[in-house]
Amino acid sequence: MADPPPIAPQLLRYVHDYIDETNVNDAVSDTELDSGSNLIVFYRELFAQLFANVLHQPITGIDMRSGERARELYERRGREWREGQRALVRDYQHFCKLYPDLLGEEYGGGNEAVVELHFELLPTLLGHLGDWAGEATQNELRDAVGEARERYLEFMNEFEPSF
Amino acid sequence: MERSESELDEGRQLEREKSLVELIRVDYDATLRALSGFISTGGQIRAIGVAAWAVVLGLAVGDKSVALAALAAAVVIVFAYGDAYHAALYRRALGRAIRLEGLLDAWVDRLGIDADDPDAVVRSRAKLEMHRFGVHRSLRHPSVSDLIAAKPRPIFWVMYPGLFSASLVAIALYA
Repeated sequence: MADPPPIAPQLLRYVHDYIDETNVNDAVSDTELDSGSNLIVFYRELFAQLFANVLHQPITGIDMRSGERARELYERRGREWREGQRALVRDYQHFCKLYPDLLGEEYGGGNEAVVELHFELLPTLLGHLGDWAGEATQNELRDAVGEARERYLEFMNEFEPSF
Repeated sequence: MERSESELDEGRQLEREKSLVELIRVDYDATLRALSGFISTGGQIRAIGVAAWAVVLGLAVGDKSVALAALAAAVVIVFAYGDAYHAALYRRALGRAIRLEGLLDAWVDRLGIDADDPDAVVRSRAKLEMHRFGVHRSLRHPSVSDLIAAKPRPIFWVMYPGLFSASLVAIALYA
């Protein structure tokens, strides 16, 4: 029997579910995300599988300390990694930085963190994940990511800013 | 060893970004001063307003005067407006300060996490370049909805209405 893929293509189901159940205008104006939101679960599961099955490092959870440990690892071993892996670890660091604000722990009550997640972090992450899947010949994952990214960009294009 | 053309170009870009960040820091400092000014002015208006209302209502009670009780109600409205106006300005300036912190954080990422990601470097540079300088020129007058949404809520939805209601009770008693 073939080994299971290091990152399960089924993870992208969380992104599809999020798109299906969310109105983009409401999503962008939200000041925070629920910790059980499909996007947050997608991030958590993706990075858990990345560190466990691809980088083989015991980094779990999403917090500043884990982000620092990921950076230490990146500095020490990053040159041995594929560019896709390096990009994904940088994405993990960005997510660790933004995570408390995404859960609404910032003072200002603004939605900057949520906007940054929707317009920058997630499209970039999906791009990097697709790149890595291509480099690692994880074709099923690459196709699943490509489809999810395309749908997500279409979803974001439906956003109507209010002036 | 001579540096290559691309290294020189990268060095020039970095210097340019540093200059932009310096300007953003100037803007951030001005925004913090504006924030501090709005909050202290709002606090002074609130303190003077409550004191003035108490004096006028005290005189109204002493003289059993409808006119003075009505004046106390008017004092509450005027000072509540001034307080709400500054609270709304504070919220706007706070939003700007948060955006500026986002820009400075993007610079932190550009020097740290994203230092060897050319796409992220370009994105960070674009953010710095697109910043519109000046807290005062970009601070719109608060709208009516801003005044209604002024915070802290207990001050604007409990304290000022309470003072106003007390003035109305005095008007009713002495009419």
